[in-house]
Amino acid sequence: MHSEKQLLQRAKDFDLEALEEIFNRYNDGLYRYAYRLLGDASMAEECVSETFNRLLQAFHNDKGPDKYLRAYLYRIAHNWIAAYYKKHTQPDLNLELVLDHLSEADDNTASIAEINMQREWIRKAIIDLPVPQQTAIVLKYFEGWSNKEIAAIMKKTVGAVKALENRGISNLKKKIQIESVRRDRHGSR
Amino acid sequence: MDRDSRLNKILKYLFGVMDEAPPRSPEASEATKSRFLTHAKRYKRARDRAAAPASPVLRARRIRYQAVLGTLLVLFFLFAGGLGSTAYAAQGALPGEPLYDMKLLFEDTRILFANSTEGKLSLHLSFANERVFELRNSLNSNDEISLMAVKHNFDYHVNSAQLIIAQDASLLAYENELEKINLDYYMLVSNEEEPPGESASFDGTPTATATQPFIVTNTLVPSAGPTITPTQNMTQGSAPTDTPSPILDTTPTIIHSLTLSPSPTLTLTPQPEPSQTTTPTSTLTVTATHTVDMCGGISLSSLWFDEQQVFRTIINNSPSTITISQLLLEWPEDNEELIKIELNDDAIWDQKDTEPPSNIPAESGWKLGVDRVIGVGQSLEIMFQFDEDAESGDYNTTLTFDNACQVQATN
Repeated sequence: MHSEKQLLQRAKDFDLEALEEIFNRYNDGLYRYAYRLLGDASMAEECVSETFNRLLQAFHNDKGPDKYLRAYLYRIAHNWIAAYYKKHTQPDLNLELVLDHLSEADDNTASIAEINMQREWIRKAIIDLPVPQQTAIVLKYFEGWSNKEIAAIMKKTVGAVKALENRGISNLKKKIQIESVRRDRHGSR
Repeated sequence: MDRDSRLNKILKYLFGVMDEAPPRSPEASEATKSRFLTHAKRYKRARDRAAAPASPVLRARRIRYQAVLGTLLVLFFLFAGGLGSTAYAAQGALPGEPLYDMKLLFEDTRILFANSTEGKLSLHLSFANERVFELRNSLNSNDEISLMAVKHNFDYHVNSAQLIIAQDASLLAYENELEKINLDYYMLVSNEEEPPGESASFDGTPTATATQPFIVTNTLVPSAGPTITPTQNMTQGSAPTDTPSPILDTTPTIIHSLTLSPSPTLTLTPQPEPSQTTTPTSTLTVTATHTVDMCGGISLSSLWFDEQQVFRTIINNSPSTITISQLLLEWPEDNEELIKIELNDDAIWDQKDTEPPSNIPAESGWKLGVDRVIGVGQSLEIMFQFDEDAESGDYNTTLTFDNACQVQATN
């Protein structure tokens, strides 16, 4: 196992072993990150592929990171996903149906189809957040990053990252609240 | 349970649901890794080749031999008659020599008559290789017009090869060969042109835009081989300087219109030009016009956003280094002011603009002392920094480069 600095030095010289080690270290995490935000295995795979390709291009152009490689890779993936969603809008989901099941979240009786729908709902809710909030939440709550690491990738202070996380969580709660109210109105008619 | 606790509970549940990503397909994962390592090897090869000494003479000889042999074989079938000897004489011609344009014409004819896509691709690669060879042997020449024609003919063959490969996945195996030829060429050109980043006279002189291809016109007066005299569609008695001008368009759709008359008369495509006249004894002047799109390799990615910043990538797959000369940018007024523009993390403009659109440098100049160069093969990010969070909307971006190429993107 090499230190990241050594690894980067060798990778910039296109040392294939070093590049393979970088790929092995980070590709699964990047895939999970991409999958969570894209909800599609082949798109997530493409995102990973493009992320590493852009890293190679950066090295080829004598650019690329001297440190924080993981943050650098996630930033590329994040940009790729953000660009993807600028081009492709997702169809609306039936949130009412989702919330019917959410109210019974305690009983663990949701079917696979219901869970898939719930997963789609929360994915869309997260994707609808402003991109910085989206990134902070996914990295914090799903990838388990520290606020310091998130601050590095987002080029922000730790305090700003915490604020983004709080705003993101608050916005997600609002979305659930809005759908609950809408559902109640439909139910009372 | 109060409202907030309920919402927290639901959110926690939903996060738990989202955390259950399905297992990744090992095959897909392996394929991604394999693609990555293949790309890495290509970059490594390119790096190694760039570090290697100048290309060996033997390779040049081999290329020349292949080109000559191929030309001879096809010309034998195509022009077994009187033109064959001219073709034979032309195949070894170098830029600036009288038969050089004839050589290019015969090459294009071979491509036109190739009986398969792969055959065409192979010929394009072979002729691109031949241009590298010619360039290597003509570097000391002061005939810039001829060298420019060689370069643009090289571009034409490489662009055509790229187009064929892009349209037929079964021909991807040729990518490596194309890459090698490109590297040979750029090593040669980069050794020759100076300083890097500046437009060299070969590429900088002409004007080219995405919609107005670069046109090079060369004039050839054959002096070897049988005398070529125009016979058809020409009236005797006019001034001997009149010049029939058959057009050779070397874009992927090639049109050959040439009236030649060695003895006996051979007509490839009759070109009715009743107004053009010459005396029967005048020497035919063949003018070949090569049309090459210099701007096709330059492109602009779609947008991505990060709070107050909006990004695009400028991709330069054209054969020359380009410099941004003008930028026209529209943006949503809600973004307030455009504060700064960076190219690859370097600020290239930092004067505030309070309302869209921005026209740089017409309204306010570029930052001095910072270059705006995108090298051959480079993909650089251009970042627009606004005062407020960037709203989604129209960000019509038009970039004009020093070679007069222009790219535009809307979102």
